Formats: sequence, C-alpha cells, structure tokens
Amino acid sequence: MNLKEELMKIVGPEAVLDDPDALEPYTVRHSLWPTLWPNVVVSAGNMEESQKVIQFANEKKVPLKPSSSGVHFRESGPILGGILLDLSKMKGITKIDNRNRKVTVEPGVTWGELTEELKKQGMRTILPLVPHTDSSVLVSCLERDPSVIPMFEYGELILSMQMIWPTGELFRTGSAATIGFGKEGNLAEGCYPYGPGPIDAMRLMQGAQGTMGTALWGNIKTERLPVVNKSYFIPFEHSEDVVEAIYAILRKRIGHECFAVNSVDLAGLLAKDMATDYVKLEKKLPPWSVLMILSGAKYFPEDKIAYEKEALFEVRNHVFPFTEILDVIPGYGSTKSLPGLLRNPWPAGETYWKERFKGACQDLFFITTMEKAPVFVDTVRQIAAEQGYDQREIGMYIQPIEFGAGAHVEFNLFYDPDNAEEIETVKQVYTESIKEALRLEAHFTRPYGKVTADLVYEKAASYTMLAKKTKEILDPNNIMNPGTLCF
Amino acid sequence: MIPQEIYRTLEAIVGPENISQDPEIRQAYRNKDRAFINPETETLGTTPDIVILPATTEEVQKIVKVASRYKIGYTPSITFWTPQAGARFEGCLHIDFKRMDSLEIDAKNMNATVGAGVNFAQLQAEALKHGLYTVVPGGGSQVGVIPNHLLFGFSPLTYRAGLAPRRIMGVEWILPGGELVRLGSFASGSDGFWGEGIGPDLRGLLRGHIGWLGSLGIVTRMCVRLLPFHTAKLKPMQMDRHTFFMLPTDRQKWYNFSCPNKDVMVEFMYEIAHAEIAAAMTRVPIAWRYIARSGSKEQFWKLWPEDPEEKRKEVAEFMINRVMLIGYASEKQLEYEEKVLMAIGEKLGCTLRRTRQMDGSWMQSGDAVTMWYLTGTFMSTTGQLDSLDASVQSGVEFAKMKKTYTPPLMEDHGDRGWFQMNDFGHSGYLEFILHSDQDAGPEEGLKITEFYHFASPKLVAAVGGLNFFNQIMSPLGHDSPLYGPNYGDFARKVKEGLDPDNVSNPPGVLDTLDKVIDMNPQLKAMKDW
Repeated sequence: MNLKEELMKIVGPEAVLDDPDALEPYTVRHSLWPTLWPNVVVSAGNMEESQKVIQFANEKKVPLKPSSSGVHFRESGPILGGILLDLSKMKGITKIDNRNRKVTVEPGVTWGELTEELKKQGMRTILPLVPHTDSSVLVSCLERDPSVIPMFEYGELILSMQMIWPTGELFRTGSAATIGFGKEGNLAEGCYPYGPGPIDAMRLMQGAQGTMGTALWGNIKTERLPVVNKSYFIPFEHSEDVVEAIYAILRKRIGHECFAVNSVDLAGLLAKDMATDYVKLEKKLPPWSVLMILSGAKYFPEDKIAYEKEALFEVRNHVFPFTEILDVIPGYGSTKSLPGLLRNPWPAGETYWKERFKGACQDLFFITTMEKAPVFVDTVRQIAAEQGYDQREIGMYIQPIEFGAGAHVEFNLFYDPDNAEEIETVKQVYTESIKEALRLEAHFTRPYGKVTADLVYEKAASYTMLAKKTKEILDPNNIMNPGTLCF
Repeated sequence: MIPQEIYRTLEAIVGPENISQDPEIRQAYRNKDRAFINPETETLGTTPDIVILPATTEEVQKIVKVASRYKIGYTPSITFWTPQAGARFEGCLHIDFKRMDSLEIDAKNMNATVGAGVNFAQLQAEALKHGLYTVVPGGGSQVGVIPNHLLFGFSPLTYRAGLAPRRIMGVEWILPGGELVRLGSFASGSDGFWGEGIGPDLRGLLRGHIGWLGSLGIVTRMCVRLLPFHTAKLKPMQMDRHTFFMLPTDRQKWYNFSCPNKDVMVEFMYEIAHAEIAAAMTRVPIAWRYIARSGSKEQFWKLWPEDPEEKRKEVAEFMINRVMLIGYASEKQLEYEEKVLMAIGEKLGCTLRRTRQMDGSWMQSGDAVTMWYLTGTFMSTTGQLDSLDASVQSGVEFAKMKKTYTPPLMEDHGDRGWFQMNDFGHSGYLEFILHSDQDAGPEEGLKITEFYHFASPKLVAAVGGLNFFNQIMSPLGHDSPLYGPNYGDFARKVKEGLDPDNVSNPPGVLDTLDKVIDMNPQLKAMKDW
C-alpha cells in the first residue's frame, strides 16, 4: 500500500503532504526531547473527509493523530509516525446562541478568531491565562486548560459535541445526541453535556490528547462580556499568605478573574518591552501577586461591584489585614488594563509571553489543593537550585479552580532553545520535580510527553489498568495517537 | 440457591452477624411488585438468596471476587429507591451497604468523602455546619449519596450547584471482576479532592447522563464536591416527615411571581440567568401546589375536589416563577439581587405573590413521600435536560399526549410539568410527572405501561429530548439507534469488556426493559421497533 496515494484518493492530492519542509510546522516547537515526525499530513476540510481518513486508518491499522491548532507547544507529537490529521481548516463558528449562552465551533477555530467574533455581540468565552492567539479553542476546552475565572458556574465549558470514534463511527454527545438534531421538529439545542446513556464520550475524550477519538465541533459555553469592571492588585511576600487569601475571597463567591502569579510571570505578562522594561518591572513587583477583577452584570452593574468590593475588603480586614488591596501595579500603572489583558489571547504577531524571556518555555503543571501549593513552590525551587537552574527565573502561577476547591499549579521553566546546556538543566529540573511532586501526591491530570506520562502512570496502577482496558475496548486497533499516554 | 460452601466463604469475609439466609430477613429485601407501577418488578422481581452487609471497601472487594469466581450475580443497594436496587433474578446475592457510613468533610477544600451507605440527610447536615451545601435530590434526603450522584442528582439548586456528574470527585470503584480502581485524585494519592483523570477522564465509564444502576461494579467510596453557602443558620422546624427549615431571610429568600403566560415566564427565567443572579428558579406543577397545603393523602383529597374543575384548570394555567435568592457573600448581595429580580419582574409585567419563607424541601428534603399522596403511586415520564425553550415546548407536547391516556392517568387539566433553569441558565429541565391509581386493574395498568414505556419514549425521541430516565423507562432496542446514534453499542462494549460474565446486577441496565418486554406477550405485541 502506498499511504500517500491512498489518502490522496480520499481528500485530493493538494491535501496530502509528506515533504519534510511542509511537515515541520506540525512538530512540537521547542521540545526538550527529540520530536518524531508524522509520515504524512492529511488536511481535512470537513466531517466527511475526516471520517473517511479515520476509517481508512482503522482499516489499515495506521497510527493517526488529530491536530487542530496552528501552534504545538506540548509534548504530544506523533511519536509513532503515521498520519497527522490536520483539522485546522475547519474554522466554522457555525452558531452563536446568545439566548442559551453558547457557541458552536469547529476544531480549527482559534482563541484569536473566536474572541473577536464574540466581542461583536458583547459575549465572551472563558479563557485560560492569556493563551496563544493561534491555539484551538475546542482542543483547549477538551484538554481542560484551566480558566482564569474560578467560578464554579463558568466551568465545564463543553456542552455537547460531534466526534468520530477510533473505529470510524460518527457520534454526538449530550443533548445533541438525537439523530434528528438540527432538523425541523427536533427541539434539541445541545445545551447539556453528559451521555447519552450510561457512558460519557465527552469525559473520555477530555484530557485524552487525541487517543480516544476526534472532535469535529463543540458547543462551548459563552458569557456576557461585562462592561463595568474593577480590577485589583494584591501584593504578597509568601505563597502561604496568597492561598489563605484566595480561599477566603472565593468562599464568598465573588469576583470573576482571580489567580496568583509570581513576579517573573507577571513581569512577562505586563512588560511592554523585554529589553528595557522587563527587568525594571520584575524588580518592582512583589514576590507574589493576586490579580482579581470584579465585574458588573447586566443590571445595575455598579451595585454588584459595590457589594462585591465591600465583601472583598471585609475579607481583607479579617484574613490579611496588613496587605493593601491596590488599583495600581508597582512599576506598571493602573489595573484598569487587566480586563483587556486577561480577556483576550496574546496579541497576534507578538512573541508569545512565555517565549519572550528566553525564547522557549517548558511548563510543569498539575492539580493539587490550594493549601499544598506552597509546598510545591518550595520543592521546585529547591530542585532547581540543586540542578543549577536559577530559581529566581522560574515563573509560577497558582490558579484556583471551582472557588478554590482545587488549584492548577504551574511552573514555567524558561530556557534558550539554542543552548544545549540549558536544555539539559531544564530537563533535569523538570524530571526531578515531577518525581518529587508525585511523591507529594500532586495529581497530574494532563501528562504531556512520554517522560511525564511514564512517570505519572507508573504511580497509578489501577487507573492505568482501566485506561488500557478502555483503550482496547474503544480503539481495538490502537490507531489513535498510540504511545502518547499509557497505551 | 447459592451453595452452602459459598455462603460460608462469604460469612468468613463479613462475620456471621452480617450475612443471612433467614427467610424473614430475605423477605425484607423482596423486590417483587415493589415500588413504582413497573412491569420490571412485576415480571422480574424476586427475593434474594443471601443478604450480606460489608463494612469496608476491602470486604466488598472480597465479596465481588467470590461472586465473580463462582459466577454468582449480585445486586448492590442502599436505599432501594429504584426497581434495579432489588433482586431481579434467581440466586441473587444482595449486598446492602448500610454499614459503610463513613463521612469526612474537608471544609477548606469543599468536599466530602462518603462511604456507600451515607445518605443526603447525613451529608447535608454536616455540610451546613461548615457553611457548605450539596444538592439534596427530589428523591429526598433518605437517598444514598453515591448512587444518586451516579444516577440522577437533580433539584432546582442545580442552577448554581451544577449537575451531579460535575460533583463526582475521587472514586473507589470495584469492577465486576473484583479489581479495585481509583479514579480522580485517589489515583495519585490519599485525597479524593479532584475528579478528573490522568489523561482521559474515566468517570466517563461510570456515568453518562444516567448511571449503570449497579450493573458495572460497585462504587464503595466517593468524594463529592460541596459548594459555598451562606453562614446564617437555617432553623429546623417540625421533626416528622414535614420537617423543614425556616430561612434566614436576610440571606436566603423565596420569591413567587405570577406571570401572565408561559412565554413571559420563560423570558423571566432567561432574563434572570442573563442577569447572573439567583440560586434557583422553577415552575411548580399544579398538583404540587395542593400537596404543599396538605398534611396527608386524605387532606389532599379534601382540598383537590373542593376546588371546582374550572378553578383547577385555572390553577393549571397559572405560571408561577418560584425564585430563590441567596446572599452567599453578604446581606448586601441579597439586596442587590432582589433589586434586579424586581426590576425584571416589573419589566415583564409579573406580580410578586406571598410565599412562606421555608426551604420548601430543597435544602433538606423530607417530603418526597408526599408525591404518593395523590394516588398511591407516581412516575416521572421524562426528565429532559437541554435548553429551557426545548424543555418547555416538550412539556406542551407531553401535555397533549397525556390527554389520550387520561384516565387511567389522573386528570391534571393539561399541566405542562415541572420546568426550571439549570447550570446558571445554560440549560433547562423538564420533568413530566404522572399519577395513576395504585390499584389499577390489568387493562388500565397496560395502558399506563403503554404510555410510560412506549408512547413517551417515542415522543421524547421525536422532540429530540435526552431523557434522564432513559434505560429506566425506555428500552435500549428502541433508544439506542436514535441517540448517538447507537450509544448502546458503545455502552455494551464497555459492559462486555468489564463484566464478561454479567454478574453485576443482571439483567444489566442495557437489557432490562427489552427483556421485560420480550417476556410479556401483551407488551411484546406493542413493540414496533
């Protein structure tokens, strides 16, 4: 069988690439470890083509990895070669439903495109921390990127979706599942996420890095874009104080955006110019900052902000009375620009904020409880020091989730991608930190890359056993992105 | 009968005081003709051979391993709420979890880790002590926390507290073959505070929009999400089945609005959601309004006929939007939300009515039994989750169809069911409830069954509804091709992959109703799929 020729019969000759220069953009950028390339990239423009390619791969037992984004940051490349199914041309924002607060997007729709489109209607989706403008919204939601708004009500962003199982069957989830969905007389609008029946394909697809199926469109939650905001900057010396403050604030169910970053990450986000501005800013910022935005709602927005502000300051008086709640960021200026920064992806055409500092960044992240976050901060700092990495250059980000019931804790290890010694050091810091974090019961819900996945799954024997069984049941030929997780 | 040597093996696991073959004990667990009007218990219901009461996950695992080794079917249960929580096959090992009553609250991280025997009365009482709350389902506070999270988990409070699948965190799960699997953060350590998996979220095997009703192993321990509540005290009143809380009205309050018609009421609900206020909002069916004024079945049947038919018709047309506000942060929040609520009500021409400031059974429901006041039985035909518009319109279609089945169904004058907002307004809900005489004769019973298991599922599918009660009310043979499509094929692959000997609560959720229909000639004659 000539793989390329067979695929060209399905999607046409222009949509199949195997030239090394053409394949390069599909590899992971700035990977610490060698990235293997696909044998061939197939660009699918619609559902029918995607399904035929997956059916072909399943029939011929050829590995296949779906890809939607214009950028590839994470260590989840096609490690066994095969077909890379490029869905980035599927860019439909096919329905904006403001009544039920959702939008239907295809996998190629990026944060940049969707944010602009929704803004025209006074709506927004809930973003992760300043995502790359070219990254896929649907993949971000499927991969559970944490949102900067820890409100429980704004969580669980995927309401329903259409997907293809590894064996090639089309399937719709949640209340979009009826066969007449979208047709006359069928009232369903796809607003409910779970099922159909006793298994939940949406859950199985989440965090699966393309190993359990391929999403073709998703109904994603939207919210009203607030027009009145009040942004605050709360400085802290110690991460222990940060988490106690956030626990108390979020217990009141107030505010929209709320998270903590250290001075390295905040300077990277705020600096206008890295050459001149970054160092000055980083020195003026406190070790830790909590950023918080109170937002008005549709009715009497100022009144809403007023009661939330009162509650916030009451918490301050009781829990962190010696800390100021400010509307000015030292070395930067007013907090008024924070909604613009946090409700948009990083500006197109500018070097992404995680790559501004040294050119590349290896993220290390996991889920833990808020109260344990400081333990991990100390641990990673200590390991960095032991490995010869300047701990003052580590970016740190604590994102409370669901009112602080859990936290996404992230360490950004910045490095020069052309410096082999630095790469080696970061590898060591990264690997040793994972081992120690696992010992401390960090919960790695998204293990990207073989090094991470091997370490994490080894510590979770029963989960790994069931994940493997599930994979065998749903993907008997193991075609979907094999070798990526524990199978 | 299960052989004596196996009995002795099981006895060695739990001790002689926690296992029984005594006929009187077994009779207490009899499932024949129990619960709702349901051909399932009529056709399949039986009495278990052995009743066993384990105390720990380890004991459950050993029991399941013995059952798996000897291919003995078992039925797990805690409160017997559904027909599938009782024996429905000969030689049944009934596993009762009432001894597994551990309950640990982690107030700081807002979760509770519960054993399989814990019910909502226990959980809510403990949660409230810490300024937290859970969603006590419509089924009542006596319902088991784990099975309800795995199966339904619904009340008006889901508007702010989210749907039950979101509140399932770490899980300890004994697979049908006896393997112990830990999901969520239990997979990584000792704290079950988080639910998402390592990579793919395997909670997706455990429940979709419904659960497996015990036919895919046993969850012995679960960590569930609790949500921040206000800190004022709810005052308990009466200590019988009418127990309720008086609300601290500076922090929590009901508002009942009369709406000119259904369309205005729906707009009202959408507008509240768009304003991002309220803790719950729901429309109350006609019968509930009489139930609320009744202390007993006798009182209901005194009140109901007292109103002439025209009056009852008028009441059925009433569209009352019942809204709960909570000042989670402060009294000021409640004042703000009240201001918004009044502005919306006024804009839409809705009138505020008086209402009692008691929890109305939604914080600590003790009155689920009142649903039986009407006729001695009740059933929910559909529990649909999608947009509010879709839910309300489905209710209209159901009300039309119900007319042709009334009687034997109880006349409710075209009531369009219980509908409410959900998930902060991203979805709505319809539950369409019907009542019929518990002593209905065979002919009437058949008509009720036709409505419930044949006509209703067809209507649900036609309007594109995703019914909460699928697989309890609708045969897989009918439903599976219409949803997904063929969701049954994928679910069956999972079932066969994890329970190849079909020992976990047979007949499993996928097969029960098809089997019942095939065993019953009158039902089989109606089957046209």
